[in-house]
Amino acid sequence: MLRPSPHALSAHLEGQAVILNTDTKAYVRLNEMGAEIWKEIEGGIETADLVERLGERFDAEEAVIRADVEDFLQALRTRKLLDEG
Amino acid sequence: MRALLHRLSDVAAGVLAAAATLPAQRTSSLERFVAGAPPAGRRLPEARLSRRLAAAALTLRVLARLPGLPYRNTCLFRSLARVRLLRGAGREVRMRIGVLAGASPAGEIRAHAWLEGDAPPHHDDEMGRRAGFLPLAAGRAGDGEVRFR
Repeated sequence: MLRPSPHALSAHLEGQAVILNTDTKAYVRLNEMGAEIWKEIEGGIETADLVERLGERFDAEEAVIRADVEDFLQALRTRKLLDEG
Repeated sequence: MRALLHRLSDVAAGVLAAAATLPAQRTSSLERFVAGAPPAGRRLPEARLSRRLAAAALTLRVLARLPGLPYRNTCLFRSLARVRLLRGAGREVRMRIGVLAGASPAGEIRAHAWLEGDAPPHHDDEMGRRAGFLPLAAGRAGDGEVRFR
């Protein structure tokens, strides 16, 4: 299950999202797509469900969406913003 | 004599609170730093608390200007110093961090830190300075408070 790290504080504003890692004190700004994915993660979601939901919303092949989601999740992992317990 | 001792101890407490923000600026997480605050103490009279807060504010201003030292006199570190002093003086306070929509002209995220609860205002126009800043919130169960744990 993907969830925000306990160190992640975030705000959604004007289609974007800003996340602060209170551990590293680093901010990250997400674009509209990233903000949408982060919203799903805030609610707690499995990776497969996340790919499926994005597939319903965006006209793209599942493999492409899955690859983009994995890239995005990896970026979040690098910044220690994910809790995958 | 007692008044003089109080005065000296208040100034020392303020100086120490400001100096102690260094770990937060360098290595420590915000949560660990705040968790390291002294446990909520007995309620200190307003005059003594004001003296401590003023000493901390002045110390941070001075430290930030000294060449070669990594201190910064920003809202975040002023809030960190104040939260320790206020907690130690028996005040229930919460630390918030908010962000503005849109980046600065340099493309940076514009953020502001402040205290809520039983905290005297740090500026005359405290609410004006917070205007437009959307508080960051935890995605799960939390409310965005940088917690004392």
